[in-house]
Amino acid sequence: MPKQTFASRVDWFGDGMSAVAYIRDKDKQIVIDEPPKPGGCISVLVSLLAKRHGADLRGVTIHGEGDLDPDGLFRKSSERPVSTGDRESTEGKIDDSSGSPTIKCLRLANSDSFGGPVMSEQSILSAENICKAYLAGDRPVVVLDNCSFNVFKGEMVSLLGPSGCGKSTLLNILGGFVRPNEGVVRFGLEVVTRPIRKCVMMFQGYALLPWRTALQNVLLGLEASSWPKKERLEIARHYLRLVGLEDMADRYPHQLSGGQRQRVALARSLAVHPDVLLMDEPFAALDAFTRYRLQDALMALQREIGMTVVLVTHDIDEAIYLSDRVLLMQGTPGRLVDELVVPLPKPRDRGSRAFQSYRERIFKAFALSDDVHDAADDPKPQTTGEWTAEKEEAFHRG
Amino acid sequence: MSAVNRTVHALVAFTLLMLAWQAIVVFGQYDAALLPPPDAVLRALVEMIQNGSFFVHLKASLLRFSVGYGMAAAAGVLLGLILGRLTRVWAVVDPVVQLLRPISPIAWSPFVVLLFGIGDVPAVVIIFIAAFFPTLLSTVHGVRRVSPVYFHVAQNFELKKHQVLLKIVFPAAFPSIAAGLHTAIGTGWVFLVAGEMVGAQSGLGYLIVDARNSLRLDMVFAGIVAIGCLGLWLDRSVMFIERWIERRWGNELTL
Ligand SMILES: Nc1ncnc2c1ncn2[C@@H]1O[C@H](COP(=O)(O)OP(=O)(O)O)[C@@H](O)[C@H]1O
Ligand SMILES: [Mg+2]
Repeated sequence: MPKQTFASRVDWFGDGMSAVAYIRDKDKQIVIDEPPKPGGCISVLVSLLAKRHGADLRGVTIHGEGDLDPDGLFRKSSERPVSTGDRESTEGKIDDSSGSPTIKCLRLANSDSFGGPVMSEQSILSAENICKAYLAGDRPVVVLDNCSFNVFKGEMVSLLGPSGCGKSTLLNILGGFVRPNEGVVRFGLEVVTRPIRKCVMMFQGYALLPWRTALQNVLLGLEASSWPKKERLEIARHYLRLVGLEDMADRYPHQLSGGQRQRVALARSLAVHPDVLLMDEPFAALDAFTRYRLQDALMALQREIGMTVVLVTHDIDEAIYLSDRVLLMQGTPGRLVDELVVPLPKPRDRGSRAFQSYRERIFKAFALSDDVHDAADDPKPQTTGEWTAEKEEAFHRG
Repeated sequence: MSAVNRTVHALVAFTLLMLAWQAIVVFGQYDAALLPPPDAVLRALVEMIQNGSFFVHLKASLLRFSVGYGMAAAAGVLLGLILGRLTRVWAVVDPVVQLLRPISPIAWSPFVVLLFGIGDVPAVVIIFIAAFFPTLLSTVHGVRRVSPVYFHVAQNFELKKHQVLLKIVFPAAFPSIAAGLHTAIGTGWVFLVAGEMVGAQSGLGYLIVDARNSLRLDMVFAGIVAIGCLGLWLDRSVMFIERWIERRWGNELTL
């Protein structure tokens, strides 16, 4: 656990040759004076440096934004506060007093991680302060900025956000496929450093092996196990039956429909008895009829097996329909901005009032936090907080 | 195009070729000993088949080819699978391969003869060299193009290294490997004759050299025709196998 030195402010000063960060505390001042590393990005770098110096950056604003040249020079590019650190910095631009749920979009700033205290007993999967940056050409681009949340046993959690906001990246980090620049993922108490069988990912596009039949695809995960051959076959057949594809066992993926492929992938994932199933937009490529049917099937299966599911989606209805909890994400850099608990009994009625009200709350959260974004760029704050058709379309386009 | 159509076209082409050949011999007024007409070549071929010498040479050639090509295929595919996965190592090996590849296998023949003497081995080595590089390069290319998502799946299921190679890399790269093996059959066969001209005492290549030495140009031609037909047959067989696999695995592989 990091030391609880709460800093209130970080200032960066670049003179072209080096960068200095002052982390001011109430009673003391930590000065970090180190030349930035090439290819780094400010917020990640600051957190790294602060960690090394034993400071906790919860509730911190980083003033001044800049890029690090590949040769390590600090180039200041704007004075706009980056990373919604504390409320003060953006106070002038956000109506903090309205009491609307979007205030919570700044909650991340104070970094209470979603889903209760980090490393709680029941949490099966936890992300702690995940930061991830990619190099776009020679410019580092922060894709994920300080994302923290917990997933509890048996839960169905959705990561909901517009495309391009970093959902897949976050899910890949959860699964151990991508290493974060900062932060850790824990599976139970163990730190995840590489993918494990206990936490299986269903990839976007399903990643079925085209040279294997449906049955052989389901067998793949079992082939690494010590089960005798006969039992492996039995298990594979069992899961194919579970997803209703026992008749398609000998078909190759190209001979199956999109929905059938998705179910083969599901059977393949379930066959290894994972504790957690990660799903990246599993229904996105399907037509509405198939999608609804498979959503129901997934829900029934999840209940039957008692499995934990983390599902990435850009479909608001899907998130509400399936999840016990929805985590709202926003892009560039990707952050978790809000959390919505959906305690409605399952299966849910998409047309019901309650359903409608959750939908509205999500619309609102995204629409209003959109304004925050605009306000930061635009001196004239916008006042329309309604969810327009235009915005919805833009949301889906990402 | 239907199979019947294809056969008809091939027959037409073959007949035209024979007619042109005959015409050149007749109108060019070449000596039959210098440019034998088709019927003489056919007679020579029948003669060799009847006295059994043709099959002796054919057997020797096919045996050398199978050994040389088989070893090249095995080595090329195995090394390609491994090198394709080791990006760093390949970065070092690649320039060397690029340097060696354009050298005709025949250029090595003095060394080959010095090192391996005469007999079956030089021809086998030359066929090996000829078939090895296309197989290796094609395999490496295929392995490097395997979609990373398959590796993620393998990692996720905690497949062991050899399982990944066997169950993921090999089948995923197979179309590219097959294309390489196909090319290698062509190049290997081309260098069969050249290889057998270097110190062999049997085989279709030796048959041609021997016939030339005894000024039997009809036999030389018979040897040439036999090599051409066998090469075509080999190529078609491989293509047939390739097609069959492609049909089985579906279109995704050709993407
Ligand atoms: N390997 C990568 N290299 C560079 N940029 C990447 C890489 N992966 C993702 N990104 C960038 O990260 C952002 C988030 O991507 P992604 O996680 O796929 O979003 P989502 O799944 O929400 O649509 C995108 O802007 C994308 O361009
Ligand atoms: Mg995605």
